[in-house]
Amino acid sequence: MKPSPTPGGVGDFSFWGETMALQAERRMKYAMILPVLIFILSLAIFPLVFSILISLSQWTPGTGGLRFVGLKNFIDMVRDPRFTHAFGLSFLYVGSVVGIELGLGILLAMILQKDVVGKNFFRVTYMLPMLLSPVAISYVWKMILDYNRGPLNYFLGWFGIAPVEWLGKGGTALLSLILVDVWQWTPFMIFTILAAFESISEELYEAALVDGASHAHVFFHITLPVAFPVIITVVLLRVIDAFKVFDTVYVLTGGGPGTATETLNFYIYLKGFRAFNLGYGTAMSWVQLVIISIMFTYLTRFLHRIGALR
Amino acid sequence: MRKTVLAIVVLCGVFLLASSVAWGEGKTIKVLAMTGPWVSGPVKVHGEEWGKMTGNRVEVIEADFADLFPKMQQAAATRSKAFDILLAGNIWMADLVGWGYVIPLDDYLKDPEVQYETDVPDGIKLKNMFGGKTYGLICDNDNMYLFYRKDVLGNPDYRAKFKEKYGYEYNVPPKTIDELIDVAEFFNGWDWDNDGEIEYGFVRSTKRGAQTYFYSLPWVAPYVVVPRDKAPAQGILYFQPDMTPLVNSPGWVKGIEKFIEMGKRGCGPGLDWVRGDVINEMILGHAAMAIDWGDIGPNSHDVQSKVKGLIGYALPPGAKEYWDWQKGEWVKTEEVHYAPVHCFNGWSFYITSTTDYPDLCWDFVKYMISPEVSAKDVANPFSGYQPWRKSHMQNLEAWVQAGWTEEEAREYIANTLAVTDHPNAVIDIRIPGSAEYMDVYELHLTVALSGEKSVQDAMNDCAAEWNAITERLGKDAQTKFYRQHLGLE
Amino acid sequence: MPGTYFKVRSGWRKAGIYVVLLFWLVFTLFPIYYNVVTSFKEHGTVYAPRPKFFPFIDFKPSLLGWIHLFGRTAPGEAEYQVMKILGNRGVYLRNSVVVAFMSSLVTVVLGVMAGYALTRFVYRRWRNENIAFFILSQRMFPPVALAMPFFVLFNTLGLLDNVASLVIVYSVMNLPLVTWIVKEFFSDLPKELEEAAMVDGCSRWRALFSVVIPLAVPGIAVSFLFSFIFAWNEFLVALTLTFENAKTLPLQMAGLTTLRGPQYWDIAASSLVIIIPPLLVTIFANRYIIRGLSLGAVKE
Repeated sequence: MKPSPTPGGVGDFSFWGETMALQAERRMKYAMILPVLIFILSLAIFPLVFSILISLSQWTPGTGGLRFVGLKNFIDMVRDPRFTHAFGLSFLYVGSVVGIELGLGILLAMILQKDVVGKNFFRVTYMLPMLLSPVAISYVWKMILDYNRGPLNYFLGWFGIAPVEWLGKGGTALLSLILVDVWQWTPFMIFTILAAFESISEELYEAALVDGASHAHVFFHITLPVAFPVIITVVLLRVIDAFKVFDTVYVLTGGGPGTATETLNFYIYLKGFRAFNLGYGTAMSWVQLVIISIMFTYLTRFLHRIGALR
Repeated sequence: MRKTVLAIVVLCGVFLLASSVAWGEGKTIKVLAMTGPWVSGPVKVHGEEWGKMTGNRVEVIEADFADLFPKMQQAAATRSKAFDILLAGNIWMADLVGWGYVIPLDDYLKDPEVQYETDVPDGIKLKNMFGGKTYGLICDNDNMYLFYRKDVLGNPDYRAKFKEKYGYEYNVPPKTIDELIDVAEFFNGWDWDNDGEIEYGFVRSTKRGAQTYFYSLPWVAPYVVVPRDKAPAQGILYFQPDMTPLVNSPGWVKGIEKFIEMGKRGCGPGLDWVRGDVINEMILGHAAMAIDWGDIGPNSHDVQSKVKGLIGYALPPGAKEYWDWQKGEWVKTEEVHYAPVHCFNGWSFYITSTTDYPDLCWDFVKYMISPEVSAKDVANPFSGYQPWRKSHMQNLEAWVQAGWTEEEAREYIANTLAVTDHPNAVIDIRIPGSAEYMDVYELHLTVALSGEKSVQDAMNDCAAEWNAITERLGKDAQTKFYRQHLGLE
Repeated sequence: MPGTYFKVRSGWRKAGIYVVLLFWLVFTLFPIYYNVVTSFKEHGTVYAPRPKFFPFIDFKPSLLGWIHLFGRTAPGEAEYQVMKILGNRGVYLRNSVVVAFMSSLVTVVLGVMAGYALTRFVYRRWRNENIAFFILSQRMFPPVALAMPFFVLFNTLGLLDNVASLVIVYSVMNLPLVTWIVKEFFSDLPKELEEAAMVDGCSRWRALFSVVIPLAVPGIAVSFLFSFIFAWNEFLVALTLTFENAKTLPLQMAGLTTLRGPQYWDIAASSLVIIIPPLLVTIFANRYIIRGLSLGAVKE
């Protein structure tokens, strides 16, 4: 992540004297970014504006149509214990999965960077969970976590551990969802972090080792700092996607038991789609968007300040 | 490399063009149905037949169960012409009527070929109606009842052993919920069919989002519904007629407590059971009893079944007491008091108000629900339809082909129709937002099942949330819809 | 002494590394193995009281799922069988391929442009980080809340149940991912290479195509791969915007949870076939990624 542009912008080339070239340069500067912005705007503007409208209304299908209710949906949210619960749960979930995945991702990327036997085999195999359809994977895990027939409880039985209610009890149900997420999305971390590690030149390491630095020192003072911007980027992307977890919740727990695994995105789905309380669902989506945005803004600002980002 | 990319781009372009080529002559009727083979399958097959007869085309648009209702909502909210016919749940009738998305069919039903007056049971007619008009036509008659292993429960040795242990002789099948729990406990956790595996006494669904709330309804209805004397009457279950929830009434709470007791005494361990488990445990011979929709019947004659001809059918067990919400007291009865619930009510055909060809749609629906075609479908294990016409009792050829004996088929159909026309039968609730009410109920039900809260506390929470939904949708409007649903207006 | 850092000498550390690798391998592969095994099960073996792991050894394999996958009926089912179990699977497959390829292509082209622009030019008025954040924000909004507006939009445009609508929406959804990854790779490329090319008389456009893009191929390959996978497996938007003609495979998969419960054998068999296209793309992309990983090693 390097929001501050690198030098080499317009006019930085001393040999670039002619105005013709400058014009071409400026033309290109806009030709490169405008199509993207126009593409996004033309598609995003209507849905965004329309969704703001929906969030301020109650939409009854049929003759009712959109009825303006002002900020009612937002006020309802404050008094809705399920919303606050889902909100907190989402943060807990996202925090746990991204934290665990990041830790494992760095660990495994670190190992895969070494000269291990079967390096390429591990690289391809570790990628597999990401490729499988999330819906199908949820069903496989549902079988694995089954109380009576599931392999997991069966294996635990070998060690004399009593069967665990993986999906039927609050705490373990959330744990199961985290487990599945870690299984499926750690590859994303491994892959991207490994790419960042690999882009560090070998000489840098060797030079450090010659200077007598320990492996740990090299890792914390060379590898990690250099890969840091990429790590931040993938963490951001994972956080965004983890907030949107849906398939596994839908198949494995249905948000239950009770509201034990009802994440915000799932609650929005229930209210917006199932109950067709679209105004309320959309209002919750906006709150989620705004809070994540604020979080990100402060996070990047903080990272800039401590100099972690260039 | 560049050539490969170019080739891919061109190829994709060609595909895009090809996919947008329109269909030829004849009119196309678009039917929204649940993903097959069950439910949508017969529409595809008979759609082809009907298409050949009339020169038109039936296009079936399939959606997963959970996505059907959202799809209809979207189409109704935006007045999209996406669908001409809906094969949708009867319980969604109030929503569909409320949105003005479906048309009344009363005039069409005067057609003598339908034999609507003579051949259709009163319980079905009641389900097809809303506020005095007929909007949907059931092609699948849903209600929950008791399935039991005739060979196992009827075994004289087991009956004697049971008497020794519990001090009384059980009925085959059990008649009350208390008896059912005892029998299930007796048959739980040992190998009663000598196949080397441990079997269960009873199976049911307990996971949130897996239709679990339906499975609890046959347990609460006997304690909540105040008996009536005339059929077809509307058992009042969910709300009092003024929309006061009955979900936290002593009767309902007792029913849930019994449901939980059954889980502890008569079922396999674990709280992650879903409907697929119920059907499969029954047809694979792993369980002695279940309360479920009729599908276990046809499925017990499927290739995979280990219990062909061994399943018996009966009314869901009743109780000898009920909570009278009008007087606010428990009432004991001499006789067993039954209150079967039409969970989901059944799949029904609706014609949308946005269609350009209502008459053509009717022609197809008429073909689908005709006595001959429907008789074939209800006997087919791949249809998922339960019998609903009186004439299905006579027309047994398709059943015999599927491997049933005539007597067995008659027993099955008779039980289904008896439940349908039972004086205390409860028609599953059809008011706007019913899906939301039930989702909330299921949420609190699973809290009670997992033991995190007492049943009373969980149900009190549920009642509070139900009231909030009613307030949001407008209490007066909801009361009016509910009274229309009950047939009081 | 090249490569010392990557050599593991200590025996204990070596053992530790392989324990971790093998543990993760088992953890990764077991569910996939169980999925493969499940595709050879049927009712009796899926709902068996104890889990079955080895075909022929602890259970009798059945081809039920695979027979259904190819649109046939298993023995004994034939006489009741009244319909194609799978619907228009050929059409769904074509839709999925078209949608995933086209949207990834559009995304990558636009993403490369945006990534280049954000690393090579200074937009004083809008500021580069704001543009980048705006693009990223497209991925933050819950798709549930956007589904209905998109439905209304495409209903008005007459593009409902048309693969074009999915291509457009997926492009927007994956653009942030591609832009951010590509941006990362572009900023790692030394400016000197471009400058040298331009000194030789190349225009900036030529330099982009002949110098920058070839060097950033690994980043582009990774981002193409990710956007292909996301588009291939996307469910909610496809659910909202399609009915039958533009349906994609994940929807078909969801439909396998039927009235009689999930058809585990069918789901398992389907999922193993559905994985093939993304797997091919992975293997294809992997060549460029591995090559690129060493090529990009210019960062100091």
